[in-house]
Amino acid sequence: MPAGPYSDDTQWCADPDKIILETLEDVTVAFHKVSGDTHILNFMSAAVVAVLSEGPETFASATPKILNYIQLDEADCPDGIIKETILQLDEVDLIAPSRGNQ
Amino acid sequence: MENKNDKSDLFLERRRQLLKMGAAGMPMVLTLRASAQEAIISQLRCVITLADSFKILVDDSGAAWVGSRNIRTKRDGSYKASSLKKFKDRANFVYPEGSAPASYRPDACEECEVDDSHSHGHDDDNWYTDANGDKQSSSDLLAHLSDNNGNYAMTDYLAGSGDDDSHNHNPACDDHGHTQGNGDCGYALYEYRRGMAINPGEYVSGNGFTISGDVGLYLALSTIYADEYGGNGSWPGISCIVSVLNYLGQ
Repeated sequence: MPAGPYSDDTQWCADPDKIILETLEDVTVAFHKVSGDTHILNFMSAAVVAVLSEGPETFASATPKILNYIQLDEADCPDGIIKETILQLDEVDLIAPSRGNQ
Repeated sequence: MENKNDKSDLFLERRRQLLKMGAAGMPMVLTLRASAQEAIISQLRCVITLADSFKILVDDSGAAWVGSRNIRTKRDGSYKASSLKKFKDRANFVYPEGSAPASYRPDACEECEVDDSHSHGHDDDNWYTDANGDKQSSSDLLAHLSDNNGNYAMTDYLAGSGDDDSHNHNPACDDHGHTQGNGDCGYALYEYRRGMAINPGEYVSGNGFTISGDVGLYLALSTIYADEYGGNGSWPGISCIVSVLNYLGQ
């Protein structure tokens, strides 16, 4: 379950100041400084964090940027996988809805 | 950004397979909550329980006085000027102009104009004046941090701001344009009660604190204090504040 209410218009963002990222080939280790939790991200979730660290994005606006980041086309990406990944990252506090745009 | 042509077909095919597994329900994120984190994260989990009540008086310039004296009020509810002056004179800690965030400052008074040219006393910005009103450097101040028993004694040392209200051109005004006859004009008071629990970790945002509510003012002044004196001194909860700031890399 996501941490809070959201819609297709919700803008999501990551706070790079709260996360220490270490990439090991296609796996990224993310240490969340506030919670103290460590997360293992695959290339998709790492791409989401990277893109949302650049600024707030909706599901729709983030999708082309994430696909570009992971070097795949839309046809390679199963329906809903990006949205599902965003919600998973929200659940563990690595990203959050941008304030004022929920 | 890497170029798509840099990756082999096999590499991209493996990514496609992984995405299919994700669509089938495999999590994209695995979370580890190792017990080893506790030692590290404890720096964020300290809680401050106030041993004594105190008040923070803020003027429109952002200067702040911290003390425990009561400030008496008049029939109309405004503060008595004499009581305000006593609070300032006997404050345990005095912060210079610009210390309190703008959102905690009251509006300036309209009756008086600030006129520093007639001031012959000590600079109000100087929060290092000693009990005799003599200026002290930071090193001098730090030398007074502990007494012979190793106890911190900054509270007494910092008491008294060196306010030179008596040298104003207009006797009705102090150096900041506050009227002396109209009680609380130009001041805001925040109170913190004994036993109040403050969890600084709950206010962490980025590399600092989220400044909101009455606790936000305390945290803002605490950060200034920590920048100047670290974990030394008798500012309430300073060791916890420094612990959190150290964790955040401040």
